Amino acid sequence: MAAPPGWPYSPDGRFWWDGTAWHPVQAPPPGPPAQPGLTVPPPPGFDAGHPSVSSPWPRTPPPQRAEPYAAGQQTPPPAYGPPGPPGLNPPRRRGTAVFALVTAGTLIAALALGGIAGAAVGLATTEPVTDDRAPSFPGRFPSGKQRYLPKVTVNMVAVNWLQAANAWRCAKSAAPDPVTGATMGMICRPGDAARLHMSVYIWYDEPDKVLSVKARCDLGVGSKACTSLFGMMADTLLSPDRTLRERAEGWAKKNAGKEAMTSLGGIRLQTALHPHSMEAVPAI
Amino acid sequence: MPYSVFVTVELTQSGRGSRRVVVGVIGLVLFLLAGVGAYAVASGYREQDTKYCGHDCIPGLKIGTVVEALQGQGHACADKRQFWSCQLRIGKVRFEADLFRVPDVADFYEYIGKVEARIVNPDSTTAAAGLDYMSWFATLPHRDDPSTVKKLGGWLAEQITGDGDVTFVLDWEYALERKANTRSVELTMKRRY
Repeated sequence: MAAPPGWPYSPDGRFWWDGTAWHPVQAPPPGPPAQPGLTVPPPPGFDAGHPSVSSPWPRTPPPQRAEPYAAGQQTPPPAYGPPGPPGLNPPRRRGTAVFALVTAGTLIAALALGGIAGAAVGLATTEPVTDDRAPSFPGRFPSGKQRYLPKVTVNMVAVNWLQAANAWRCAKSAAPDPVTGATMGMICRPGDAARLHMSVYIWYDEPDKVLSVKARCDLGVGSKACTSLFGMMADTLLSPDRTLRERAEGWAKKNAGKEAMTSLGGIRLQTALHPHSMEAVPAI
Repeated sequence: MPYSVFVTVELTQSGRGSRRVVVGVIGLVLFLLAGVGAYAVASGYREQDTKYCGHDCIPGLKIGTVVEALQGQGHACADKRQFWSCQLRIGKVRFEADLFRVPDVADFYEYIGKVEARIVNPDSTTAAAGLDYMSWFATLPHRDDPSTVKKLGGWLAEQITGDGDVTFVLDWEYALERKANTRSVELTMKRRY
């Protein structure tokens, strides 16, 4: 049903108000539809004092009267607020939208420009590390200082123990030791008939840099001579440490007849049966 | 103009000004944050760039620097052109390392592309020293990354007493092998993509 001339339309132009209820508009109303803020003002006499009106225009009409209006939308009719001054609302909303767009654009631009500038500076001012220092070594990293028997000298073994105390005879060897890498060697043997069955090898780089001492005894596993030789060798090598030398001698005598290994005072003692021998090298 | 309308207009203009200032400040903060972040990323990328060695080396460590460090520990080193060979003998145990140069078109870069570190004649008393020896070489590419260093150390500790294994850590391949015929344990590490 078309509205009679002069009656107000809803802001969306889909309903018209007859003073008591909303009616759907059947045909487009003549002229442009009503716009927010440009809603047709209530007809004359259409105010709080009008006897046939239960609520002032454009408040929500009474529920039972609003059914036709609601029927077309499946939702209650919008509570149209009082129209503001003509022409004020649309520019404000448009201004807010523009402001939001400009703000978003500004922030995005700030992020992009900052990223580009920072990356450019980072690439331009930083050089690859091409000659770093070597990292420090862990505590147990093998070191050249560990190559030598601590506090052991050639004199201590060859002169003081073997030559002076037991009348052994020693001879130097210029050939390097392929096992320890020592540059010089010395072989000592007894001065009597036992020289064919007993020997002590000393491998060293310098007189005070001894790499290895090895005693060999072929007089039989468990023989008194071999046990004594190994015991005295251990005692000599650990002689700088009074507390350890006795332990070393005791261990050597106890293990002379079997294969065993121990570390005392930075020296590793190892006995073997084939050939029957005891060797001292630095403990790692 | 009514007073109320005048005040409304003034307040609106003042509010817009405040909002612009706030947006400007936020924009400046974002600019700085983005700049600092991008600088850090770009700087880190640039520091790790290994173009100078053909992208196949232990970053930032010249082969001469590593050799000098080993010599300072008493290891004897010799230049074999394709690689440096360093070794140290303690008793019967030999610690050997071959540091391979990165091949260039016709020559070599003075950087390390592969390491072969081996311990010959190890025994139960050399386990700790052997682990530290292997770990030092294995962690050279990751020396500034404590978590990776720890991870590699754990892997080595597990493998050095076992039969050996292969693993990949951040573009590097590690293979630990026990060779019965030479009574040795050997670690090979090289760049892999």
